[in-house]
Amino acid sequence: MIAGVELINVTKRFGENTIVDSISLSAAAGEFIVLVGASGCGKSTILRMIAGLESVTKGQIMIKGRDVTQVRPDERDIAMVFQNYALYPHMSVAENMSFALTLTRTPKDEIKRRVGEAARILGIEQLLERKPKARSGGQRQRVAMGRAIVREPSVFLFDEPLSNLDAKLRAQMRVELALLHKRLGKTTVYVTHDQVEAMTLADRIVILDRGAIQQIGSPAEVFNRPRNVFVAGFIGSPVMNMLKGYLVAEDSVELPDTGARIKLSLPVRGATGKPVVLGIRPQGLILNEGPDAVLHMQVKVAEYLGTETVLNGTLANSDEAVTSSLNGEHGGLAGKQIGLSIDPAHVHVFDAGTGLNLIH
Amino acid sequence: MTTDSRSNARTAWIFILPAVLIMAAACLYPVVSAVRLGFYDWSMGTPWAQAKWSGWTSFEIVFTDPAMWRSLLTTLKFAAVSVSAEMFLGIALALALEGNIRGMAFFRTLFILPMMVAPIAVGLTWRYLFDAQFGLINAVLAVFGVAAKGWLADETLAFAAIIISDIWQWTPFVFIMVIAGLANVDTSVLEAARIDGARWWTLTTRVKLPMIAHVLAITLVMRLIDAFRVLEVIYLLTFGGPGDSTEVLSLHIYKTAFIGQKLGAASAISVLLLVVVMVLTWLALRMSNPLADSEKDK
Repeated sequence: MIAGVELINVTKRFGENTIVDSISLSAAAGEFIVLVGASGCGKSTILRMIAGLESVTKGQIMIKGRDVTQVRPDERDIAMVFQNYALYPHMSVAENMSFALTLTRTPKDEIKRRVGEAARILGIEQLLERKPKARSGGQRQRVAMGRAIVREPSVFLFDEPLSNLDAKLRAQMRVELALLHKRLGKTTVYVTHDQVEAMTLADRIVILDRGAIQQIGSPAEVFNRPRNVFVAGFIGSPVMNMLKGYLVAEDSVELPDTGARIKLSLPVRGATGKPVVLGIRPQGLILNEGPDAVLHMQVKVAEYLGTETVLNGTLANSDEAVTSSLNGEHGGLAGKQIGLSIDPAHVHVFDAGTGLNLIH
Repeated sequence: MTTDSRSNARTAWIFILPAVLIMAAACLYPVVSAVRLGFYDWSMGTPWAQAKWSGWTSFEIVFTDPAMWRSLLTTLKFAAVSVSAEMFLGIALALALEGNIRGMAFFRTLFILPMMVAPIAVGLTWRYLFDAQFGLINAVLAVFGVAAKGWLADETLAFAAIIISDIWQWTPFVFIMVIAGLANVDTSVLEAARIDGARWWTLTTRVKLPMIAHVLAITLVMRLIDAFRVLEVIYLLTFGGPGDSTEVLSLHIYKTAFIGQKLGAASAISVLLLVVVMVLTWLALRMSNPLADSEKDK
């Protein structure tokens, strides 16, 4: 099957700096791919190269099987939604949405039909004759999406489209975006630094760091089987605990500061004594006041979030930071020392040198 | 209005009052004086107490004076031609030099130099350049086999000369305003337009320039006001001649006041000039008022 978007060994350099380092990536037709990573990881550059706004230093970009590496942005059969909406301030909402169609001399009736249809889908029919300037962030983002929809492109590109919205609106727009994708069924490449957006919207997530792909997988895959320390630390909230230790057997890790031995659910590769990083999701540290507690934690701050309480503190007899996420209300634990047991399903072992996951 | 917002408004007024008073004194006083003077018959050097109330006489004389109407027409022609050319050239230059091309900083600095030259120096320089016998312009034309022209002696050429000198001095102002405006245009909007299929011409005429319409409007207003008040360069270049072919309104006011010693009449023309400039400013701002822009769409 022909991919919706395909990047083949794409590299981008600005002078001596390599921003994107020979990445290959393929999004199936209709797939929703999310590029996620910290600022400067190259995710926006990749999106801009797909759009044709940045040249490609090396490699090839294919859209629906056609090599578009040297093709002008408007001839790539894509539409893009920008972080700051990028609406034409001097045009009405309807003119913003129909601008591309007027340039291709689309018949007026057809323009009217498409703009009307997109406005109806996005619930902005009442705004069509208004200027975008005085509209709210959410409305402007809808207009920007409308502008993309009317072009009926093969590929939608989104560059952090929700990051200028407040938390409540962001959550609402996220759902609308998911519904919109379901309805239109078009290949979508979406850039964000927000892992919640990535996890909730993506068919597959592409996690990037310093211009290189760290892992590509479904939200469940990258959460449950992070390929390396970076992915493990990036995906999941609160952030995974990373504790220094070493292998004492193929299924046991000892933490030197506390002397605690942690039994693993699966054997790992590596010789006894090998230094490792033990990754434990905060959800995997369970309150255990009994004598069989594996770890002890000095709780400094307890954050009650309604359905869960996030405990922040350090391991007893150590200054290693540790976070535990407990169901329910546990605000009273602040300032206390508590016992914790470990859910092996939430434990990962990473090579201390390469950072690679030794279990998965 | 709540008590809070009323007290906020009062505080705001206390802070801006000194500036408002100074502005009022500096701007309104001369205007009021000029209007008042229009109703008196007064010559310089005589005590103001001896000035005679003349009522509307000065205004009647001025409005029925063909020389004044010719001068107003000359001014309108001058402003229309020079400001149009300056806007066109300034915008074109700004569009050509807006990118980050190597060496552009040097050219940008070079282009704004004429604006910094004092009008007196501009007038004198151009007088020598246009000189029929020794002027550089005729010398250059001679190289191409064009016969020497009496630039400042011919009505049409003299009019062209004052326009050329004005364009030379004030195109840089338009250039600098437009380039500053273009620098503030959101690049992602331009990128969105590129994705939408806008090529250079469409991008410029339908996106870039409309997005800096408020800058263009302000620039146009400032240039129009200046063009209507132009005096020094024309004073030195042609002194309104030959005949009264280049006698713009400011020069006509100057001559009426200081050569004709008719200060009342000169004031009456000044009032007319003020009205014309105000009407033009109002028209230009109506086209694109940066101050009203945000209110209109709410």
